[in-house]
Amino acid sequence: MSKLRNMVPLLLLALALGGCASAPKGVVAGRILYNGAPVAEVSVTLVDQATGRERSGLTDGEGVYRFAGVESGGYLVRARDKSRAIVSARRDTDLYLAPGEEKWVGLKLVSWEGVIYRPYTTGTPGFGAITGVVKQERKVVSGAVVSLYLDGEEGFKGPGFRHSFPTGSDGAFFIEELAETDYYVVVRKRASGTSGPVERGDLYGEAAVFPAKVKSGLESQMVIHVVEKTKTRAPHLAQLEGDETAIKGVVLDMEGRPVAGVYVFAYRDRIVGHKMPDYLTRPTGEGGVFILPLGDGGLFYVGARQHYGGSPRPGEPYGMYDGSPDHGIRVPEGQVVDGITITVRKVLE
Amino acid sequence: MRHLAAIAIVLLAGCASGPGRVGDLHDMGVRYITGREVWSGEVRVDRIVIVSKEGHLVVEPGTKVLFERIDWDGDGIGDCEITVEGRFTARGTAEKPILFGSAAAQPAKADWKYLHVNFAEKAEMEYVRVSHAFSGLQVHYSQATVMNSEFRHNVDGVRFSTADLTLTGSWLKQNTHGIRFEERGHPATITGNEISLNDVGIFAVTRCFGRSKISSNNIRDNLRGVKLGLEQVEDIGLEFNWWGVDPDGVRAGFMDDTIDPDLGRAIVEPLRSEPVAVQRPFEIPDDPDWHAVVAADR
Repeated sequence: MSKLRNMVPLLLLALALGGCASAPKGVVAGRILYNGAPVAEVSVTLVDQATGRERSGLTDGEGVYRFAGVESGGYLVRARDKSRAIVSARRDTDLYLAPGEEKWVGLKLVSWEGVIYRPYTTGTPGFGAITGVVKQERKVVSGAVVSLYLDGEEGFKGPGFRHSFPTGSDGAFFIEELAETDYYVVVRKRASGTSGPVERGDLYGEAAVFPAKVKSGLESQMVIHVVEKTKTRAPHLAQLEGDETAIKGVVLDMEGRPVAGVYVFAYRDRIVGHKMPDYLTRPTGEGGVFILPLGDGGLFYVGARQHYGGSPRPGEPYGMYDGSPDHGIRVPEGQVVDGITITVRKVLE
Repeated sequence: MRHLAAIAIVLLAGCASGPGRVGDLHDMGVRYITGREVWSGEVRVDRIVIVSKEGHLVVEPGTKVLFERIDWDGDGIGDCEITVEGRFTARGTAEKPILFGSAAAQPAKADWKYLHVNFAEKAEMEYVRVSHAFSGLQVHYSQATVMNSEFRHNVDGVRFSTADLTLTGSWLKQNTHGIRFEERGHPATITGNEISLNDVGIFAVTRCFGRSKISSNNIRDNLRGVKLGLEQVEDIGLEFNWWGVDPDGVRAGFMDDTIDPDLGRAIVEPLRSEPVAVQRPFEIPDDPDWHAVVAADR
């Protein structure tokens, strides 16, 4: 018994060492979009929240970044391109990476515009104000509420320290009588009208200078760009659970050969137009195989193309599902429809 | 080859539901053409017609294709249409033009949806009149040639994006938009046409980069000659057209940077010094379905 008791520390040490040596490392990857299109050569930074260590990399031609060999833990992801004055709409996106996990974190960029300070003549002496306009792409946004937070560590929950009236048709807002200090300025426009975390369809944005400084006797004027919270993109192939709704199949070229590196997409509307799809896979592998999770199921118009974002281009492989004349397919919730074939051919060739 | 030649052929009568039903277009009746098919005489369309990638629809001279007004999805626009993903050939003659129009006794814009050429192999139209559609012709990601034809009383006369489209010798009149386009990935060629009496002559919606050739046309007597969409920030080229007014009055009513500095500019200079000779493409047959349009001519 005493012999066994003496061995316990050694066993614990061995387990600990073994755990360190074998803990699988994961991947953090994602796509960077600006006005709905992928952006190449944007600097993306991964910050280890425990150590503060940073890793940086650039997006590829499809706007994709990838950090491999990432240890489990908490991280922040941020993107910025100073030369093009664009920055991730949410400055820091936090995530927790489980051992061996591959996490997909897409970021949307907005224009970066600094703060302009103007005399604040109408307010109480010794105080300042924050004013500005809320925009989505190039259009002003009405009905958005601007909230001020004093602490950046709490995740900007709740109504904040102060908030504006909803913006009008000119997108303008103002918050007056502010003491001289730093404020985290956050904008939300809720489609649902509820409180809590922003949900699909809501608009969200943060001031370009974050936090923004309020100075006595001055008005801090800014343009805040917001982006729409969209649904989570299709998860990686390996993440699909057996009880999810999806279609599975293969993408072929006109000669019947598998096509690798194309995206399979699904729209809920028959008129695809130039809109972004409702669902999208990651690029097909060598065998042209895809699996496209489809949320709640329903009727989808399905196709495949080489590029992500923007309209199909001349020469780009593109095709729609031909199993029905209008390319539509019904996928009942909770079912996986297998055996779907999509044939692509080059546009305008 | 399948040949449909008869008077008052109703395509596959007995579709799942009748006119006026509000539903998903996926459930509307479809005529799926997967081989070569020839239409002649009078053809009535009461559903969606789709010409597959392998299909080829040929419409013979003198054919009348009349679309029933069926607003299946309740959006106020008729849902009968022809979508071409393979080949489409509608070659009439000056003596025997082809009509694509509304079957309604009192036809109106958007009675039916469109001739839709989408990711198609090829479309050819000559001596054709298209009237009372939402879009007379839409061309996307396809090659199409349209000559000596008429587009009247549609919301959009001719609409296109990323299209290898040549439109020439044609009349585009009394539409909401004579030409509506997004140039995007491929420019088009629009020359030698009469674009007049529309609410808007040329509507450049977005992503137009000034590469399309839109010249030697008469673009006159439209309520608004040119309109740029809210996101059209690039200039567009409309040189060498005849605008029907003195040079000082050409830009009157343009919706471009002359009104909104955030928009691009419609560049019209150099101006053409005289009208282009664009003859009416064909004589109107002595037929009530054609006269319904003639009566509304201005």
